[in-house]
Order: sequence, then C-alpha cells, then structure tokens
Amino acid sequence: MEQLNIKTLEKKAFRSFFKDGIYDVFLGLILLSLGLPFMLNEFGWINYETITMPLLIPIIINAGALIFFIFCKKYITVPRLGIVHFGKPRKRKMMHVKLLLAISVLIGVITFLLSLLKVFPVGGTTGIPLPFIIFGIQALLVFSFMAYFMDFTRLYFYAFLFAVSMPLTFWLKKNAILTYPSLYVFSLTAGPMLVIGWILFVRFLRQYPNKAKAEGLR
Amino acid sequence: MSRQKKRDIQDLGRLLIIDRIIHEPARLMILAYLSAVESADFIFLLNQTRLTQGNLSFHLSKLEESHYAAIKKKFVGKRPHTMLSITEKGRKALKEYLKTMKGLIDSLVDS
Repeated sequence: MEQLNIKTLEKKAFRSFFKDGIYDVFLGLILLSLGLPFMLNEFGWINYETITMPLLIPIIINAGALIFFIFCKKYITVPRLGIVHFGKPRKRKMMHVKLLLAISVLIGVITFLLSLLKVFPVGGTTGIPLPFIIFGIQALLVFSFMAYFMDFTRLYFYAFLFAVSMPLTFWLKKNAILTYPSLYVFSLTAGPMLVIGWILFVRFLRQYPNKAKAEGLR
Repeated sequence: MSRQKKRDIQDLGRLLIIDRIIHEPARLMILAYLSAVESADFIFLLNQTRLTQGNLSFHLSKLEESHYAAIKKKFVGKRPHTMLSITEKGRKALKEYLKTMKGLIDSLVDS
C-alpha cells in the first residue's frame, strides 16, 4: 500500500502550477532580453556609445514578459487549475523566494551602477568582465535556491543556463571562436526555455480545458 | 483457540469502528488534499482528484454534513465561487483514521 504522505500531496499540488510552462517562457524571455542588445550590437544595428538602446530593449521585453506572465496566469492557468491557498510552510518558503529575489535585484542594481562608474577591472585573465561573472554566480545561486524552495526542478537547469550565458558570450568573443557568439549562446540558453515552455503550454491547454467556463463551475 | 488468534480477532474488530465517512476512497482523497492546503476551490479539487463534477459534489456534501469540510460560497463578479477547507474536526478524524488503518494493516501484515 502506497503511504499517504500529506507533504507529498502538497508538493504535487503546488508543482501542478508549473505544468503550464508559463514560468519557462517568462524566464526564457528575460534571458533573451538580456542577450538581445549584444546580438544587435554584433549585427551592427546598435552600439554601446549611448546607453539608451541597450537598456531600453531589455526593459521593454521584460515588461512584455511580465504582462504575458500575469495575463496567462490570471486568465489561462487559474480558470483551468483552480484556486488554492497553501499552508504556512509553503507561505514561509515563498517568503524566502521573495527575499532572495529582492536581494538579487539589489545586487544587480549595485553591480550595474558600479560598472557604469567603471569601478570593475575590464578584462582580466579570462577576458570576462567582472559584472558578468557576478551575474553568472548570482543567477546560479538565486535560481538554485528558488528551485529548492519552490520544488521547481527545471529551475536548476535554467539556473545553469542563466549562469553560463553572459560569461560564455564574453569568453567566446574574446577568443574570437564564433562570428556571432551572442546569437549562438543566447539561442542555446534562452531557446530551450522558450521551447520547453511552449510545448508545456500547448500540452497544458489540451490537458486542462476551461471547465469553469464550459460547465459554469466555481 | 490460541491466545494469538484471539488477539488477532480482537484487532480485526477495530475494523468495525473505523470512520466510514473517511473510509470511502474518494472522500479520503478529498480530505487528504484539503489537509495538505489551507483552502482550495472546486476546480482545483476536480483536477487533483480526477473525480466527476457530480461525484465530487456528492462527496463534498457528505463531508460537510459530517463537519469534516467547510464550504464557503461567494460571488466573484457574477460567478459563484466555492472555497473548500478541512475543519479541525476533519483533520482530527483523518489523523485518527490513518492511525487506526496503519495499526490494522501492520497487525495483519505481521501475523
């Protein structure tokens, strides 16, 4: 007889909200938004002389990704999966996630401001600028902890993809291995997230019809 | 009749006192899910338990009658919305049921 484990049930119930693939698409879009200025720069469409375009592109895409995320969760996932309020242990875990994200944003902003002031050494032995190494380590740690607290296994893989994206791009650029390093690196890192996300999203829509709408339930 | 056999029969007698409201698989499943969360709506339970709408409604009514589950109905916009949660009585009954069943199964497996 399979043991009835309440904790496992809670975990299963919480994880069911990752079946929709929306988190995957959202994270994929964020990573893509970070890589897009580098790609456009390699194609010669934008330059770094003015900070406006390299900053504006990620902001616009991130805003779009956030709107997509909120819209899909509210109008697609919740009507299909239902509403659930989790207990105190889960709320505590989610509090940890929010705290981690806040710290992560703070570190990101400080690193960005310091890099604008040219405090960090350029180049070094690896050729990777220090802010991008910080970004890689931070992404790996933050997303791994989030994966742990949220019981979201795929996020470990995404943590790795986020972590390698920037440092690898700069390493390839420095060693002149590829013509368009950003294009290849960000296609291979953001790409899998977007593909996995869309596959899950389509599967989710097929698997979970909108019962509330169809049968007037709630 | 050996002393061991008598004790086994006495142990099996505990089967008669188990909570029949919870003993029904669908209701056990519903209570287990409700005990894992603070509250959930009808759609969520429908997806998790894979019961039909009619079945779920029926078992929820039974659980509500026994005061094992609380049902709160409210309107979100023009739509009725049902939130469900396990009561303290339900939580205690589930715990007791699991303990009894575990004891019974263990004694049957051991003998």
